[in-house]
Amino acid sequence: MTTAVSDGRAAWLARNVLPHEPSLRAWLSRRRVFDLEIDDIVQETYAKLAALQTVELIREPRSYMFQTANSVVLSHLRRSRIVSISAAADLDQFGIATTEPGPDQRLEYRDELQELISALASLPKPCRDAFTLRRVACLSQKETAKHLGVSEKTVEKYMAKSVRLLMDIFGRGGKSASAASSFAKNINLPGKRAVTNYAKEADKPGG
Amino acid sequence: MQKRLTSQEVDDRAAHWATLVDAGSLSEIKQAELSIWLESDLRHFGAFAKASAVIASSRKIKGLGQTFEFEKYAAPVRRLARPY
Repeated sequence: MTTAVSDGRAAWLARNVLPHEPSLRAWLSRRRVFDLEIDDIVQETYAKLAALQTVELIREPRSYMFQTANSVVLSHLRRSRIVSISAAADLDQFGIATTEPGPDQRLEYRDELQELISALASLPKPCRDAFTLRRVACLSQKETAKHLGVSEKTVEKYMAKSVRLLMDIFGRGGKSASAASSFAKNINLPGKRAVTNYAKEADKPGG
Repeated sequence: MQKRLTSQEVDDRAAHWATLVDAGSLSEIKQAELSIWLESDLRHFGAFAKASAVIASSRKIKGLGQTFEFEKYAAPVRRLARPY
């Protein structure tokens, strides 16, 4: 089997998309078009960008990423089939905003390495130790396990947890996942809600 | 039909799968399992792509050297509020 996401594409996403995810999330929150599930939109945006045949011709990846997210939003709206006139009007603004750099764009050009180091420093120590041995010392999983005196399975667990935590740190600018999504829920103005997803609300534990 | 995972659960699983792929420790059976998982929901594939990007990004630390002390560089501003 070929790898689902090639090394080249993963590197392209790391360089051109990952640093802009916090501002994409902020932008999606500001739209208030309808009851957007921002996490879904973001995941589907990554999927579309990862599935592109080639990225060679994309000159402005940030803008392309925002346009892709916009098309994901539109397809969600179409699927919902409950597009009110006001929601449609909002969508025009949605399109216009795609190439506007957000006020926080400046922050996205922080020294990437420094950011990575800070992120790694915030990981729980066992995760960071495993991660450092694998990534800095370039030990194999087996060698790392031996060095730490734990099983390979445990190293695997530490690595997966590290990646998971880094996904939140990079993508959300350090905000925890739960805090970010509850924030997104609270910014929807009642008058702007074209779609109310009662089913999803009912699914939530304690909701 | 399988229960729809929450976005957080999708990210959890994607991180795990991407780690396995990166370690090169996937058996054929596991690879097939991953393919099915990736194809079953667009969000799965997207989260997996992001996890792969995070791993690619983390390769930058290779140049730091083995004696690098992360504690000295811990940034006070970035803390996860998530109770793990």
